[in-house]
Amino acid sequence: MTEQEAKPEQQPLLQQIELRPVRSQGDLLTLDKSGGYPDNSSILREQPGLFRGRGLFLATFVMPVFLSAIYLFLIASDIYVSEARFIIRTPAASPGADGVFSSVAVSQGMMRATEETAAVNEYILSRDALDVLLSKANIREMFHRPEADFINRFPNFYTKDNKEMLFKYYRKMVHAWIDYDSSISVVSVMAFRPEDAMAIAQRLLAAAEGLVNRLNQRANEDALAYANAIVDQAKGKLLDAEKKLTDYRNKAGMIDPSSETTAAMSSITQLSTELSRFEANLREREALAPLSPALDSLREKIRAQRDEVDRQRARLVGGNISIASTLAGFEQLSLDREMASRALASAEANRERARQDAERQHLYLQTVVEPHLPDQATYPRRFLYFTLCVFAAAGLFYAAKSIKEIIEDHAL
Amino acid sequence: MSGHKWGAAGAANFFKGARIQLRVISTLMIREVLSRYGHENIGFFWIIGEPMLLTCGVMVLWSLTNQTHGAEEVGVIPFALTGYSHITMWRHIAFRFIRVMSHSSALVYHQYVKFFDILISKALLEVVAIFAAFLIALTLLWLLDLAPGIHDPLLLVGGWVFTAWFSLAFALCVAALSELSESTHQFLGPAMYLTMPLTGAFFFVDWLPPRAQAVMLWSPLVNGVEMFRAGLFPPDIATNFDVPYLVGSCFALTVIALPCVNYAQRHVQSPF
Repeated sequence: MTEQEAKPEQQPLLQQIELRPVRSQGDLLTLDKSGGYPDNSSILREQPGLFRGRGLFLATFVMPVFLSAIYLFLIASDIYVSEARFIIRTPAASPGADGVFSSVAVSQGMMRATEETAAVNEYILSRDALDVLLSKANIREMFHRPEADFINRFPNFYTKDNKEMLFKYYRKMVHAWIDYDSSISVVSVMAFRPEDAMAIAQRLLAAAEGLVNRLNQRANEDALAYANAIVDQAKGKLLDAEKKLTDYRNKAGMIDPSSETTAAMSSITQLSTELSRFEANLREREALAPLSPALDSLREKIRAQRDEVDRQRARLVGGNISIASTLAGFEQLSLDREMASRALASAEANRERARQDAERQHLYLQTVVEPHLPDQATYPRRFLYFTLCVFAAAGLFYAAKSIKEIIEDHAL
Repeated sequence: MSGHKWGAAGAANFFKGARIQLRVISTLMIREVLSRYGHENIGFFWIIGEPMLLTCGVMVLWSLTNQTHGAEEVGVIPFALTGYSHITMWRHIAFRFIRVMSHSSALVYHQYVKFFDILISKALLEVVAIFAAFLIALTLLWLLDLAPGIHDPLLLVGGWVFTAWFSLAFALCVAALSELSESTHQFLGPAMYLTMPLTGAFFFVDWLPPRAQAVMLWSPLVNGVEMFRAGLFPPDIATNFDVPYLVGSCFALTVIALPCVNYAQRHVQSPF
């Protein structure tokens, strides 16, 4: 509203009074220094239209909301998720055959193998699994479907097309984790077509089974290799002992000193019996006919017999090559051979047991939930993301406006 | 909206205001530190010395009594250093902002001093001073081979900045609420004490069972201290943090705090 003097010849004494609303800053109210006149030096002033004075609003609120609306509702492609769950189990350990662990309560059921579950989880998220998928499931095609929008597909306008980037993208699309309480492994695959997601999940399960089989095979081989080595060693020792015994026998010149001893003792006994009979005979003859010429031959016979007995006795004990001295060595070697053969028997029993254990310690991958064919896209959650974006943009606008006002406050 | 400057003049206005505000804030910081510590002893270096005393005292105590608090392989001393610096900043800023607006309402009579400057200057002083205390203590300990050298400065400073941002946002809420209600300051003490596990200063997230880890990682302070520790310790110490979540939660709290402060500053009851 302006007031002017009615008479044109008088200078307007009153200034132009313009009522302007004063913006409250929440503290001591400050008036414009210039005393009420708008700044004449600004270039763009009093712009008509909707956007006047609203640059910040446009930039921080309208633009993000608009862009996100366009992206979420027009451009973003559907992403389907297929999920599979599995567990890795192994039979519980059984006690040893000699009953050492019989005091420990044994459950003959299956246990969960937690280390192997973690190993399989790592494998699914690794480059090895990606290689398997590359060769068997043409995963590159699946990441580059025509349905995929230009931000979500794999090679992108802003990523390079090499194996490392593919791996990063793979980690973004495939998630695998182990449930806390139940130790069930979960694999969740995202893809641009439902059948793609299911195929990738199935292929990953197959690859995980392959890994489990490889683990089994390796465990088998290791256990058997060890047991075989022990058996070979025992065999070697046994052959060694046999050879030593043979050498000894050859050196001593007799097969079995103990039986030789028995034979020698029996012959000594026999000869002694005959000797005593001859002596009895001689005495009898001497008593009956002292001058008989047969006495001499009888005495000769007795002397020969005595020599024979002495000789047999000498063969048995005394001297270097007597039977008694070889008996000690023979006993020792015979004992060695006995122990070696027992060791071999026990090693073979162990090997048999190890083989059975290894076969029983197999890991099994049991699929609890098969990968399903999704019929509705899970991502992107368009309305949710849009609402979040609206709130975030509103917050951003409010924060920016507040800070701008605070700063501009100081320039008044 | 006349009086509002358009275009280039508007931008010049903005930067003029920014320059003035920066000067005001730095002046307020100097005033704050002088009014707290004066010129005796080491004067304003006490702003650095005070947190150092607390932190070093705790470190000495823990290492002398062999209370490792589970930090055997990490090292008690850097563990205590990072945790205590972090929690000191959080607590100092929050406690100093109780009724800050009414205590400093005399300053607002100056033309260029606004409440927001006072708040920012107090917080900034604490942030910078405690970070300086941390760096000095770390350098001394590193020279004595009791603490590792800084592994990743960006993560270190980033963790500190985000924690500072979150502390500031929370403290703004505290300032606003304490102006509007009489009994807020009584709740703050016990609340801070009871929520100390949520600050994550006394454990590594990696030490917790998986379910507890998921729960703890919802706390922005835990994310902040983990990021801070990731910057200090070598990467074989496992840390879990989520930067987008951290940024988002700081931002959300700021957006909540600003209107509260805007409202409360109109209702400041001067103590005089």
